Amino acid sequence: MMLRKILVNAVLFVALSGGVGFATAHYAIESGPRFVVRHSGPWKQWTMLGRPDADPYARAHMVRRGMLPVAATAETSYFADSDSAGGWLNTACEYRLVVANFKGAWWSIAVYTRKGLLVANAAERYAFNSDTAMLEADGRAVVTLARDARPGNWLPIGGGGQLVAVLTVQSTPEQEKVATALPEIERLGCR
Amino acid sequence: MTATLDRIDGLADAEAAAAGTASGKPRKTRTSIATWRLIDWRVMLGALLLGGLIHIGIVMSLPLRQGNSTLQRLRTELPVNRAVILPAVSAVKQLVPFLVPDAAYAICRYDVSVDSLRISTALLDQGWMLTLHTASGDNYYVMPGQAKRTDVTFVIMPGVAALDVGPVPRRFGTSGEVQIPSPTAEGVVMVRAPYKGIAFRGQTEAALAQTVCAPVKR
Repeated sequence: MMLRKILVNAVLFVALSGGVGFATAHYAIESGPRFVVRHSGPWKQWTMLGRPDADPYARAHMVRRGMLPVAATAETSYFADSDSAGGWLNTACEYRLVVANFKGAWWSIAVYTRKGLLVANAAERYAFNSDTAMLEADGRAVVTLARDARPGNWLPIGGGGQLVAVLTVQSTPEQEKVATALPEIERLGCR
Repeated sequence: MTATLDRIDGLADAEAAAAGTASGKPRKTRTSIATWRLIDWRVMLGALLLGGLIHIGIVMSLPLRQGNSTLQRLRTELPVNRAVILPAVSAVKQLVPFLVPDAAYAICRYDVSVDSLRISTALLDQGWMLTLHTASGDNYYVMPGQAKRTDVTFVIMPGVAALDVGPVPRRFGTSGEVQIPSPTAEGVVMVRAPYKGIAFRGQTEAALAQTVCAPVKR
């Protein structure tokens, strides 16, 4: 009886400590705890990413992904791996983003695989920025993420698997307003 | 709680034994205990505490154990103390993950352990960006382009770690040049020049090609 008790507790001790330690560390490094990452709709911003005084989570995130980030004092990168309804961004679906209200600040939007690599496509089109995007009459830029060609600002997402959309906005004196003007990611449909 | 459960189990065993005797069948006495009742809550609490320590250990040690893979790759692919214009970023050729793709890049991998390094470039427009990174990838200095052309010249030399990002770490040498202390002997200078469209591609790359990264004696 005693042996069985020791065995049960030893197995559970190892499983629980290992499970809790590794699972929470993986989540914190990949997605970021709430006190490190600022959320705005589907967009996430690692506020300390790239800074020499970054917190350990931001530093581990940067190293794990092999990034060379620009500190948020000069420009901000917003990451989205889900649409506004909460579904994962996926190459099987089509999405629409309406970029507006950045008060003349330079911006760029691109789509990557979850490892940060560009999505291969025959058109070799990987991003739009405030200079290259076609604007509507009211100054908004409507960007469509889709596998097949679409009119306007079409970003091809063919390939397969989950995606990460990254919106980079150069800092302006009205930076807080930019955070509230981040575009919704509307899912138009899936195959 | 445990005592109550023991009593309930005891009553159940007694009832079952009585039923077995009444039917004339021999009944094996129950000796097993439910597994969950063997669990010691103090052990589980200890496991949670150890889990927390494992979490902290993984997060803190990752940058030390792994290092920035991109900088390790740049070390093998780029010459030292010389500006290189990267080929257009594409799905086939992408040196740095999550790099803004609609831009041309000049990168200078530096080592200021022997000589200092003079950087000279021009930031022509909004979206242009000059960044200095340490050997681990930290961005210790940044200069964004403005709507009007900005010519930039400075010298990178070894120095104490700067904890703030921006114009703070600047200082001036005896000859009047701007000096920026690098927290690490090795690092990377990156200049980003966003494309304004296909028609402007050559013009953007030609302007970026003016970037100079050259060692200077200390």
